Amino acid sequence: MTVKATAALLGPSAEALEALSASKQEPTWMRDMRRAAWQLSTELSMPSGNEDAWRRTDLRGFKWESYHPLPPLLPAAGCAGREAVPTALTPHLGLPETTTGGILLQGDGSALWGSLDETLHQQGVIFCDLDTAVQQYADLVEPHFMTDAVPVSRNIFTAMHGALWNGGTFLYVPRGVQVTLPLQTLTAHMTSQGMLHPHTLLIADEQSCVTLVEEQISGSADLPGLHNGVVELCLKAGAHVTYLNMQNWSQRLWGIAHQGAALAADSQLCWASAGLGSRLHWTGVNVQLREPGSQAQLFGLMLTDGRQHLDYQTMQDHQAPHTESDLTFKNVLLGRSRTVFRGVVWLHPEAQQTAAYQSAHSLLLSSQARADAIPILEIEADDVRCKHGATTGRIDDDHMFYIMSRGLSYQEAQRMIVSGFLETVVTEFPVEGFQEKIRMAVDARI
Amino acid sequence: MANVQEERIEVSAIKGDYQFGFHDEDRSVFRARKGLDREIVEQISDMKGEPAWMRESRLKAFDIFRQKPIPRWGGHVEGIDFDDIYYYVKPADREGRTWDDVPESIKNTFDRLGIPEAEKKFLAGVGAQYDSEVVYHSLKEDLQTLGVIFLSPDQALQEYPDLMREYFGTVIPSEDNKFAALNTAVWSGGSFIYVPPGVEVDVPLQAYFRINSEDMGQFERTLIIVDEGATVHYVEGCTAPTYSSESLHSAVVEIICKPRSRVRYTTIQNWADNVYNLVTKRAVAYEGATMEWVDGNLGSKLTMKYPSVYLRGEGAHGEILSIAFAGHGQHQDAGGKIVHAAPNTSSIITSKSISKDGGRSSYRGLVKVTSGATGVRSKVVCDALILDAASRSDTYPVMEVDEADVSIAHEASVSRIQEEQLFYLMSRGISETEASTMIVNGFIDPLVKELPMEYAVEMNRLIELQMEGSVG
Repeated sequence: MTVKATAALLGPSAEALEALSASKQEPTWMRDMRRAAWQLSTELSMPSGNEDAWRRTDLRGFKWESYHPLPPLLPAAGCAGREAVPTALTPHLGLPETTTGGILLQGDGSALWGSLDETLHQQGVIFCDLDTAVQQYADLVEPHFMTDAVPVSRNIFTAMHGALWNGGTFLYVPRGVQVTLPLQTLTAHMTSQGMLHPHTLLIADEQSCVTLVEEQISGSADLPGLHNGVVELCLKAGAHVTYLNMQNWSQRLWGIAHQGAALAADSQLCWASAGLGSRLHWTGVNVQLREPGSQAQLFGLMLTDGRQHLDYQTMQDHQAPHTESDLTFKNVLLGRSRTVFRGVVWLHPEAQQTAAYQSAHSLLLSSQARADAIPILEIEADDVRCKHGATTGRIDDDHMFYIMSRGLSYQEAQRMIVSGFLETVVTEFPVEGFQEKIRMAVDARI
Repeated sequence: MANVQEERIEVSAIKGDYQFGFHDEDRSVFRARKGLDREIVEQISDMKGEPAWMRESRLKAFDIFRQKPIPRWGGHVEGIDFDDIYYYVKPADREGRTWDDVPESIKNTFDRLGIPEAEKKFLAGVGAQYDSEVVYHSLKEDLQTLGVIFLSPDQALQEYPDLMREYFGTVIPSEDNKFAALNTAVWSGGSFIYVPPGVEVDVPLQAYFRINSEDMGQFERTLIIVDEGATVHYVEGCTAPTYSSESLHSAVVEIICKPRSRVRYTTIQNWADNVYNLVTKRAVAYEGATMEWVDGNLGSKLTMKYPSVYLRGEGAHGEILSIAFAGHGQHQDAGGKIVHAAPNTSSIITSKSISKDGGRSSYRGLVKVTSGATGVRSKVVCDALILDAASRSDTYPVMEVDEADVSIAHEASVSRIQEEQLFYLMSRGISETEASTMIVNGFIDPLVKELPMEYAVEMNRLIELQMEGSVG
């Protein structure tokens, strides 16, 4: 197996790229894209820490050279079936008390198992691993892959991702098709010191409707790893897309993610993310409202403890008139952890008759934790409604007293208040089964 | 109605020829050559006959200035040609003790600015700055008997060398930023105030600054020390004649608020629209002290100014009230910083900004709570008005909270003048321009209310001038 041939390699390299591309028998266009991205990555340098987006995340512990590029474990297309799914992962499949329209499971950058509702398949919905899509649906993948929502040239991380992406999710919904059942994709990190570059590409054609939930987990809570992911959401005119993400990597994983959405006329995006795992994770979310009538709702929550460091950098980029966006973040901090929320609302001069809102709230449960909030407005149009708010505080003594006077212990009271604080955001994740998963993950932590 | 009509003609006549655009014939006796090197710094120090430590402080700051890169954030300061500026100009006239000693030409300038009126209105001391030297300085007898010192820092250096040496550069060291270093190297003029323990100065102290020589940078230095339980209000106002080439104003203001003191520092900045106004202002507040910055920015090409308060003693309180008005070609990058470094400290930042005719106003702020500063409360409110589609408004607040037992809140909103408000006023027979002016004046009312009366009047007047022709 190719694993042995390249396992000795540490860090990203041109050899790893060639081995990866060859083992997948990729078409020329993809191999060339990888090579061009690799070239680009060698020309770019790591952030110095002086850039606004990187000022608050110290990347000195982010060491490419300590991790293994992961080649495919199995031939991309020939998934062995549900029986072959590692038992550690089976509890994560599906959503509690919620029927899914399809499930895709990937481990260490390779597809392990996949299913899709037969009706959806007949309607032309494509839901498969990205390697298969590159082979079979190049006409859909090639024009969208790292060209628009998240351009490969943005920085060293996107270039490195373009060169070495391994595994990923491809979802295409044809024009006018309404997918009512949520689709689930699960990305697992199984190998110690593994370097993951998962890619999610979602294309919702005109007037279509779809919900994708993505979970990111590690095989064990202390498995070291590196994550450099990209999520691209392309919403054609009138499309409705819900993208929900739960980042629950191991506490020894270092991660970077670039998530981008491009919204055409009258499209609607609901984006929600729960940041729970990782030693350090930086997530850039770039929502571009490109045409009139587009709307985006964004929700986020962070729960950190120990020495965790989570950084979300969001951009509500209003490029057209009659657009709307609304963002809410809630964060709970324990231990010596640190969270950063830096959200930009950018209204271009063309973005008249727009409304943009942003609010971020942090609850500190430890005096050693640190929460940074930077809600930024850049407004170049005048006929707008734009507001933001941010608060940071601790649990109100009166609330604690009230609950404890009813016979609950300090810990129980604290847990109730924290769940209540996060609940307002959790309930905005529009898939009930996914809400339940987040609640369970949160409960396990406090 | 006829009156309103007449008044508007008069106002527009003034606007057509920039109100403060007059300037006196330049009659400076000494002027360092353009540009900056060690020799110029030494020359300034020699001219002033300074002690060795100040000379060394200047030279050290000059080295720091040369090493620090030009800031790449905020406004565009690349347009400043540091070699094309006079760093020191000493006017012909020595500092006057009484109003009679002040030369006629300079009096004329002050007349246009309303200084004698201010004098008549029992304003305590007038430290009026003309070019780089204080030319006129009076301090009321009763203040002198209270032991209040109100001098230019040059004088203070001669008369109170120990106080100067103890506090100069302690709040804002020259390493702080490039422009603080520049100021420390070439500073000239400004104000020095010392208020002894328990003394309450119940009339505002004020100084008027003017830039007169073309291309001359003004680098005044202000040091205010308010001893335990004392109270003072200092008012600084600026207007400058218009010139075609660009000017630089880079001041440093340091304030020390000892325990239980109350200090308010009010600025109305109305530099001509070719001036780069890059100012570092910072106060340290100890136990139970209150520091308030009231900061109005109307003029200049680019202002970068973030008055800050370091709350270092338990129970200290900081307030910043910032107003920015950015018209055509202007960028007001204003805001404020509060650092809570002690328990039970509190702060409020209120920012109001108006952008018009392609102007850009930004709020840039920081609220920081250090570990161990429990029981901190802070509130930041930023409101912005955009008057037309060509203008821009930004908000860059930063909150860094390193302690759990705190309550920090920030909110901001951006909007244009509401149609309903305009309609309401216009339905009562008020023209669109007047209605807009009224709404803008109402919007900045929280600042105007905090100003001494004559400044409030001037502020409203300036807003009216700024609003001229804003409705097309």
